[in-house]
Amino acid sequence: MDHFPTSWGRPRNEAYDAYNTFPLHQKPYYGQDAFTDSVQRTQQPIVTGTSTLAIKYKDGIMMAADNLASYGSLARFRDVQRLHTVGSYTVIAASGDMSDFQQIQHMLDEVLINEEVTRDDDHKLGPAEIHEYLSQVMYAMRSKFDPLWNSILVGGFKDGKRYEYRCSYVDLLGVTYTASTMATGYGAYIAQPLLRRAVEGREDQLTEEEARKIIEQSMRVLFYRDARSLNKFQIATITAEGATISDPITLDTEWAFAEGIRGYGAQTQHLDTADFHDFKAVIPIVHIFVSLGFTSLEFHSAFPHSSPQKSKNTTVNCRKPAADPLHAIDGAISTSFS
Amino acid sequence: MAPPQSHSEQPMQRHFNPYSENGGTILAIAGADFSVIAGDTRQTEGFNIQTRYAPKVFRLSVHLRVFYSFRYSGITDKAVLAVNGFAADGNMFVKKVKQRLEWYRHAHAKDMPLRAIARLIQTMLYAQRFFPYYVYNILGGIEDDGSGAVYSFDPVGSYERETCRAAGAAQSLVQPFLDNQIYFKNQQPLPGVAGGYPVHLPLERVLSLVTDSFTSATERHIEVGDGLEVYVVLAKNHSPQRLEALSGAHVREVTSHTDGERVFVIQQDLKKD
Amino acid sequence: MVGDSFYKGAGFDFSNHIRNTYLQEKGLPLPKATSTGTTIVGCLYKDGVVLGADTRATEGNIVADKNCEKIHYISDNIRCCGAGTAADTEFTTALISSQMELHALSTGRTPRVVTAMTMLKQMLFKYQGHIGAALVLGGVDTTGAHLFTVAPHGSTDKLPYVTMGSGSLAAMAVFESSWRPNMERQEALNLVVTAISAGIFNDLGSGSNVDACVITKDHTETLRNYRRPNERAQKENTYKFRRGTTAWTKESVRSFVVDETTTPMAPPVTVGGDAMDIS
Repeated sequence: MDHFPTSWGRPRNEAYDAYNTFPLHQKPYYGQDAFTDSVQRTQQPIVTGTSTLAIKYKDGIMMAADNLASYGSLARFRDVQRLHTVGSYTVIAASGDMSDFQQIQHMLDEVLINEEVTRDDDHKLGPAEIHEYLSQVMYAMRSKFDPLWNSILVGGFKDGKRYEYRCSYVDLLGVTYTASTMATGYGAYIAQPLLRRAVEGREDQLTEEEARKIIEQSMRVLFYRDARSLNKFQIATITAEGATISDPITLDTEWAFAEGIRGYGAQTQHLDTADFHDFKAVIPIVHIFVSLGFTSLEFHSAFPHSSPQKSKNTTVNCRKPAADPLHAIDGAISTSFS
Repeated sequence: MAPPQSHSEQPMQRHFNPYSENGGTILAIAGADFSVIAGDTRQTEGFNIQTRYAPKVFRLSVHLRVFYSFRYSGITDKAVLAVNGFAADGNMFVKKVKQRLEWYRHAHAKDMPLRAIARLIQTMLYAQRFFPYYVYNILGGIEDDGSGAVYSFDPVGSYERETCRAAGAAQSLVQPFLDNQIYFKNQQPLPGVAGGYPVHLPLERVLSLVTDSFTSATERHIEVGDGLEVYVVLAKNHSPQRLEALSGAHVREVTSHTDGERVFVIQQDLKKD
Repeated sequence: MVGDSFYKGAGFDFSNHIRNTYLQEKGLPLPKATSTGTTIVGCLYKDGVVLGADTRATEGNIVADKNCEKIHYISDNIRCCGAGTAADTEFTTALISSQMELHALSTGRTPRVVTAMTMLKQMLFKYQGHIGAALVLGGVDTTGAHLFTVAPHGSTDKLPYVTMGSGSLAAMAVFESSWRPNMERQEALNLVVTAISAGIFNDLGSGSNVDACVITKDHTETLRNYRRPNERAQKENTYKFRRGTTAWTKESVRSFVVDETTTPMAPPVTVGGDAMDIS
């Protein structure tokens, strides 16, 4: 059985592992479809960016992407900008392969030089044109079996015109859509529900401050739950005043409740409060391991290694003797704690 | 089912699948002098809703009016195309059909007849026989003789003219219902009634069947929902009063020229779960 | 398996395994089981634990049941939400529920949540993931309120808020942004409703209504269909078929009334006593 929750119900997009859920070279292939025979082998993403977000608000579009480029499960580059301005009215945000994204930036720069500098006819490209261009390029490349391995959000606001106020999506297959809230990568599963709840139906009321709060909260939750994310990200705003991309932002995060967590089953040990200080450094690791149900055993083996090194006077006491026979069984397992 | 594999078959190569399936359902029903073409507006990928509003039904003359209506008085709105399957192919296909129709107009100074559009779509689909558009098309509109028509296509161009057709994710739920309610399959006519059942139903009945088809498909198919967009094409002699009286606030006329066929859009909400 | 004993032991029956493997090789796939591509959650609050579930069961892309129950009874003070293969969640929880009842009778105590958790994980581990049950187990016992998840291979987690199923990411996003320790009952219930709703409206595998269950030290409250945000609208037509719609090839009428005539008879002449008639 496939235990990754998002795979339940047999996903039809066997094309690529958008969310980096498997190490490189190990993505399971879910079988055949009617067109398998016409499919050839091709490349795969190597250095990847995770989620990107975009929402509409009263004065324009707000987008966000963190600064991490991963190499498989390695956090390889921690200062990569995944937001890119195109002309005066548009920002694009990319997840997926970072080299393909750089190629796209290069192509867009050339288009802009041709359309806006060489011609110099005062016709400027808006988000609608940028999105149309990108979707044609992405669809053409997928049709050559040489896809640009990205999911891209395009946000923009031109001349204060309603129809030029939009955010839209295009991916490596050339699939497009628009909506008032959008998210790629793990963001589509984790952030999108939060964004929809906060934004849908309130696009024309949300202030920039409120929009920023929504985006920040979503990025925080993504950092808690997406193992390929980073607590360092940038926010782009596109309004009538133009497009701006912020400096990298770091959020404060909350891990205090982890101090109350003991083990994964029948363990009931308590720590002396004095030891909490020694444990704090370990606690983020505890949270991440524990929170992904299936890997709690890894945490279990990681824990005894890390704790004695942090502090030699750390003690774990089993205060309650096991009365219940079943309890005793788990009590035996838990001895590896001390 | 298989766990991630790291053994024997090295080097493991990843497949790139150029197709995906974006859910939703489309449906069209022809009347004596009208045609109704409908689709839900949800676009999905796997278990995810990508957007709650992505149209799948398109007028085939939509942008031409701006440039040509004052030059060619014969411009009409006779054809509506619904596409369902892989969304990227669908949008690309609609774009190319529109382009071909515009070229036809430049060459012949008139609109292409519906039956000719149908044949054009066939050849365009079959041209991609070995890398198909993964799209099910349904073409609805008014023929030159003023009759309502529906043409349905498979992804590689096999087509036929029908009275009604459902396609897409919930085809297997909706088509049997239409067979029963439109074609009166498995329904014995009253003995002694001459002629049995009617060949064409009135517009009111057709619209209510469309609505019930989509609300029912929404109940039982996870990829159908969010919104319903119904296009109604009326032949020149058909009185639109009946339509305007029918659903009131939801109806919007999108006819591009006054002395030809008339096109209306009806938008409704569907459940969002 | 010719030659095997006619009598079967307890537990699963594997006698069709070889045949089914053969048929699969010949290209005949196994029938699909109903799965509850689901959103289930649980969260601890001041006085106990709140569990929540959506009510959609699916078979592939088809909704098999629009209002199924995913919060299963374990004991009076323990409930278990199930995601995964519907039959597996139902039978696993029913089996453990029965064992818990026997355990409670033999010990004479209120059963503990860890006991149910340990029995569940030992059973699921034994079957190496072939029983596709992903569970959220919650309850209150003498040692306090407890909340666990049990994954199909038998690993467990003990956390103050948990989610499972295809909508688990949507629901977890809600918990991660809004959960606080020591919430009031209504706050916790509202949070669970929001988490389940996130699954219902964003995950196609989840839908219909919100079920909830609030367990405290001395009371368990089942809130079946606590929220119903997806009522079906009135149909435009009625689909009642006229009598005589269905065609038939032949007609035969059989009467269910049996006609009887009762003829009174003269009472037999008794000779007297039990003596045998030897005349």
